[in-house]
Amino acid sequence: MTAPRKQVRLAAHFPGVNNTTVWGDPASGSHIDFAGFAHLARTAERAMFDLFFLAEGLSLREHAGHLHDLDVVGRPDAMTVLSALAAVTERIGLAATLTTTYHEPLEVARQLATLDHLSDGRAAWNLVTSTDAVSGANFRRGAYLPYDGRYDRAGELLGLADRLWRDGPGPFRAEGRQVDLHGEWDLASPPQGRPVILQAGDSDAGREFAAQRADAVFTRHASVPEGQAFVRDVKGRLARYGRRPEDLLVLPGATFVLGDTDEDAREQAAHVRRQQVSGPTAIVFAEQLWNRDLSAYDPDGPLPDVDPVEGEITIAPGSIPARAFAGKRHETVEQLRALAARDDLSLRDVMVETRARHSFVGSPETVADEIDRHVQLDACDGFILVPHITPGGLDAFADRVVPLLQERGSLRTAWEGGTLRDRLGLPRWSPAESAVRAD
Amino acid sequence: MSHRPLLLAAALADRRPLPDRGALVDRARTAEAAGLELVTIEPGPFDPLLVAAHLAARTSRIGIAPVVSTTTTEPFHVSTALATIDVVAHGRGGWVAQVDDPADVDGTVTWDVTADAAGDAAEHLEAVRALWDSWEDGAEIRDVATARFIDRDRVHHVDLVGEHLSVRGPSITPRPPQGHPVVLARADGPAAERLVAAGVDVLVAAEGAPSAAPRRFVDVVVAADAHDGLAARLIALHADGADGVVLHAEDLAGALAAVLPELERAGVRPAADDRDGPPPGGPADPEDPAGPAAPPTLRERLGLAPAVNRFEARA
Repeated sequence: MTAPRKQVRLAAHFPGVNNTTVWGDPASGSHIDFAGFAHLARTAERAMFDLFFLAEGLSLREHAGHLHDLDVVGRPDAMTVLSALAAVTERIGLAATLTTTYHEPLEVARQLATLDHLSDGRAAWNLVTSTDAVSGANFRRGAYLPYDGRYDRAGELLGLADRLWRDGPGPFRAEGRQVDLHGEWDLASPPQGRPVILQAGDSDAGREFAAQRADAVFTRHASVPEGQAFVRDVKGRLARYGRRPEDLLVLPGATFVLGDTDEDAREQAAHVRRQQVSGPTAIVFAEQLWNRDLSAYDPDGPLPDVDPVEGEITIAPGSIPARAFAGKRHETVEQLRALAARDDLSLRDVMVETRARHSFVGSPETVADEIDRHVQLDACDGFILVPHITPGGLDAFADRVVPLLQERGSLRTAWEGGTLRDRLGLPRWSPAESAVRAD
Repeated sequence: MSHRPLLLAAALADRRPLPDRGALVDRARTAEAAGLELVTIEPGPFDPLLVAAHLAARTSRIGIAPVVSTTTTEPFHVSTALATIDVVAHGRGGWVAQVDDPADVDGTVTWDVTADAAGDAAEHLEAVRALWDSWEDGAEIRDVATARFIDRDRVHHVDLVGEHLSVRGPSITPRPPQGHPVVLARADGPAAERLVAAGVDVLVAAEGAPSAAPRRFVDVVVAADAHDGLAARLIALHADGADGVVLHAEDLAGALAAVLPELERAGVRPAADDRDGPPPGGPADPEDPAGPAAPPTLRERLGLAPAVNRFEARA
């Protein structure tokens, strides 16, 4: 008997507040109305996806001293939306991103357990950490947590939540440096035992945290060899915590553009990419890299002829891309100049080329092949797909790619019973608790 | 006394340590079918904000107001969650603000809880409403020609700096359908005075307490075997000046069946059929292209004035 084929795990990411989302498309609908959330979640459920996924941002993005107005702005509260979606879906997992920095430990534990009960065992938490001062200014303690302390708080918070979920009602006490709480817990253990925990963060500390504590890693999309290296690294860390490779899923975020043929898809992708990088967006991207005001430059002209500025990030504080370029601004600018000279590209062309890549572009057959190849070659366990249109951006994928994955035996054709955790093949208890029980 | 019909709310509480989700939905629908103005989601093992969102997707015309502490929560999170409930419910959202005794919540949050819980509550409430105002209606412009999604001149920092808490804003969530979901406060004594001064819409108080709030509700606890005389008690409260009653009934359907006909006969509250809005019957399909039937908002059903946006009023 041959081993059963490895299953592709799929999640649908509600389009976010970055330039991936093409809000100017005539098909683009509200990012706030519940109908849009219901549509995307039900489409993903119809397509046998494991998860519906919501991101989080606790302040509006700012650039050059103003609110950033070029991308989608505004979103509802994730846990609230998911609790409503639990009423209009039946099988799909419901994942919210919550930072451990600006959410209270007992509130997180209660809300996730509540969602798990309201959904009959479908709650998931994408655990992130943050320390940005812009978000901190919206909360009682301000930007209280140093960068180095973010995983202390995350670890202590998750440790307390795990105990409350496991033990159910009764007195509790946590005496950590960041989480020093006590009281009486009053809620029964959630149906999954523990909601499914995803961890997003590619730093070494993030990978170690995932290996020790998480059920899945939300990471960047990469080529098959790069993905295989990431999987080897992160799953290689599991044994020291008494965990098996299949106890941690690796789920990169990915975008896609479908066409009737590969050529048709490439043409559509070229169009989408230019919509994703308008002239003003190209200037913002350049300013994140150069770390200086470039508003006087023409996006359809050549790259700015001035040097980038290393040091303190002045024009886009809090911007993740702006931070990612730190220390390699000159080197990156030189690479872009070489690219522009070689292919005779404008500033905007260069930004389209480097900042608006799609993970999968092709006919349904090509996209199904590529997705399945990544999974079967252990470059990942599946993908968190980010459509570029709200709320219909997953419709064609559900109609055309999903049946092909099902034909190959790589995606379920009927729902298994049990909870989200059961369907993902994950152990019921937290890693630390599982290790104890295995002894 | 010739004032408005008696307003009715049903308090939904549930068993510990595991509430019965189906029973919560059933009771919300029972209250909706009986024409009640709102349900309150009482504190319990389940997070009331999430239960409210869940019920909002399972009902079509009744108001939904979770009880949420000001003492143990962040105004930013409360503001966005309540705005989201109002979106899901198409303008039926509310909030019963509750002030905790600091001694009772010791050790349950990771900031230092102030002894001045009433002062903290007043600032919390102000922050929640300022965040609702931080987006003007129509701030989302989707102007393809200039590549701008919002008009940033219509999205505001709130820059509240209080004695107990500070919030910069703006909210991450646009202004909810009602502008301000209805703010009820359950409080007595000095805390009640502070919250009324801070501008709550409805004070939920012990019987007989006078109030300057636009509406005053009274909590009434009803045991399953105590339906006799309940209608007379409600009629007396109405005569005494109460605008509404929150029924904490062990047997909600039984209590409503017992009192509604008597309230109608007494001219205190018309029957459900005479009231505005689409007939009850559960929610419409959330994706219905025809859009949801537009029930009156909770503000409208309680006879409250439309919410004014402080940032638009200033302009």
